[in-house]
Amino acid sequence: MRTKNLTAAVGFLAFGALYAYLTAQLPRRLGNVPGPSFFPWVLTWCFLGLSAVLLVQGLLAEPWHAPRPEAEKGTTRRTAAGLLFLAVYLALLPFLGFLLATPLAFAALMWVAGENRPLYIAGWSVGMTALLYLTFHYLFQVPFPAAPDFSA
Amino acid sequence: MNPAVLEGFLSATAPEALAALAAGALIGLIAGMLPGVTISSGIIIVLPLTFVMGPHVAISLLLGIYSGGMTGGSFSAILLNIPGTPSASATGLDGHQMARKGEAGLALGTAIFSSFFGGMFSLLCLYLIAPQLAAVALKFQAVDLFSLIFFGLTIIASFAVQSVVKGILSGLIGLILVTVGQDPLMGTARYTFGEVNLLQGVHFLTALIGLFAIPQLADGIAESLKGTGKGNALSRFGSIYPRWKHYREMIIPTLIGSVVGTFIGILPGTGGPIAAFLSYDYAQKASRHPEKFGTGCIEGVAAPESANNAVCGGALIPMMTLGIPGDPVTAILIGALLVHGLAPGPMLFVERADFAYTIIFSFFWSNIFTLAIALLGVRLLVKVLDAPKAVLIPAIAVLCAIGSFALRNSFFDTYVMFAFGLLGLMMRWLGMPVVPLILALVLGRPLEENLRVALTASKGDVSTFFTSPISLGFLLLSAVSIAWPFVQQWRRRGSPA
Repeated sequence: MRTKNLTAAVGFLAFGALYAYLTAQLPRRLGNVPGPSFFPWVLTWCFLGLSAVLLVQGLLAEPWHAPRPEAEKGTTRRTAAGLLFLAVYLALLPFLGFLLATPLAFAALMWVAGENRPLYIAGWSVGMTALLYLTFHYLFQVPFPAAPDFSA
Repeated sequence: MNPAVLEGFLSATAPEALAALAAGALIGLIAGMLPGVTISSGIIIVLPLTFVMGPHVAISLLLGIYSGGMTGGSFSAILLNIPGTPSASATGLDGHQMARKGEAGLALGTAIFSSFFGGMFSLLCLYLIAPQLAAVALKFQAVDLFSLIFFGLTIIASFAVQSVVKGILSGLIGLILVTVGQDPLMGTARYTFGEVNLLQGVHFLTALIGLFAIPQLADGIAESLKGTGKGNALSRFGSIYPRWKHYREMIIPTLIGSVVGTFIGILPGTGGPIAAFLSYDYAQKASRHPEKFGTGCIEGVAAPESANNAVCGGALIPMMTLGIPGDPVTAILIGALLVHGLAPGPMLFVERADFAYTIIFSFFWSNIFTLAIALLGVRLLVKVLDAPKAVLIPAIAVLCAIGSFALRNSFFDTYVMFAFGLLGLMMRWLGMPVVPLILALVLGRPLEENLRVALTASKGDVSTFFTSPISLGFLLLSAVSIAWPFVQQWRRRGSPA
């Protein structure tokens, strides 16, 4: 936890400094009316102050590292792969369209979740995509682009 | 009769609203019983559907999930000893023991009936208290509203006992994120970096979808690889209908649970798990056979189950009358209502009194539907406990994408959703609670608005917050709210083990 607290504190201090810099660009108090930067300044000082406290807590804490089981490392890799597939899906969705991008993402995520039977994966991916598309596009009128659109 | 009450009743009883309630109760029962899928996640998943519905249908669906989820949580607690929701943790203590003794059906029946009673009791309190409280809240000025919202934010303390600094930092991150977009009084663009999509700020629901669903996705992958989160639901568990002697055993603990649950629900930041364990404790103390608790007795199921459903009605009271969410679910409900242009708070009872009563009557029907669907479908529903995670995980991922896109038909929101998901994962890795961030996202904007209006009216004099009796009262309550969890922790440390 010590390393985590120190990492968090340093990250928060850097973020707080950036936020303070950006806040300084905003208009200040206008007469008796607190301006747009008033509330952000309050937040900035509170955030920087508490980040400093977290840094001190991290420095004073006893170093302790829990042993990480080997099995957990494999799970973490799969989880990271799952998040990566989701990110790629979201990035490609405007270009490939729902009907092409979704079955691919669905299949990839099923594989990440431990499913290895190709026919089972293909069936669920295509079936669920069709079901979701029909439900949201036609029943609930969500205007998802259906087909590839490379002008997006 | 107040015409708004009649309008509310008719609106909540419209066929489309009842259909939504039935669907919501069913989804809630399933989401509640699936270990790892919280009620909040269940609501988040169906949220995109509500954008195209009328507000009365949308709230019916969401309340159905809320009520159904609370009841559904007990199913897996009883059958697998894995609580489907944190609120069902206490139910497993006796419920699973009953299942092991071959009385799973009776335990499920007890949970279903006592949940129904708890929900109906809290509904009565909601109906009687909410309009009166809203009438009082109408007299609040900006200075009082600021202190009230600040009090709402002090709920953070309840979620930050492990690390106060991290809890408050989490809340501050939420408040900082709320400052992105146009400033609420002057319209000045803040922290938008020239991006047009950021002018309206970060949509609260986009953030919520990411914060709840992405970590859920990560957990789902881990669970499916480990082979956990899935069990063999019992297919034969006898009759679920309690006999007369069982009902007699249920009366006192159910009453205790209902009162405790409703009261705890009204208090911001407490919620189902506390109510369930407290009522279990009180029911044990009130019982003629306290030694039976923990060995599989009906009273040990009835008390926590009535309490966690009573929390729902209790939590709706501050949400509807003050606009203060008592727990993450009511925070999401506020967001969902805002999408429909309805702002929960005292003005709801003035400007849209009919809708306020629609919420109350929808909650009534949600209890009825949860009871009916749970009783008729429990044998079929528990089979969901064997559902393959490998299908659920990608379905949740795609629904997240659809949900965040559908809010404003913008792909930019899907990226924001994913960024919030990563933020949620990072916060969990750092041991930071995510609930303070959510509360700050809900309350941040009105907090800033009322602070600046109050300071403008007082010409920058901060003593205005202490000279108004209402404001001073809320500030004192805030102090108590912040200190209370630490006092409790100190007392626990001081008491012998």
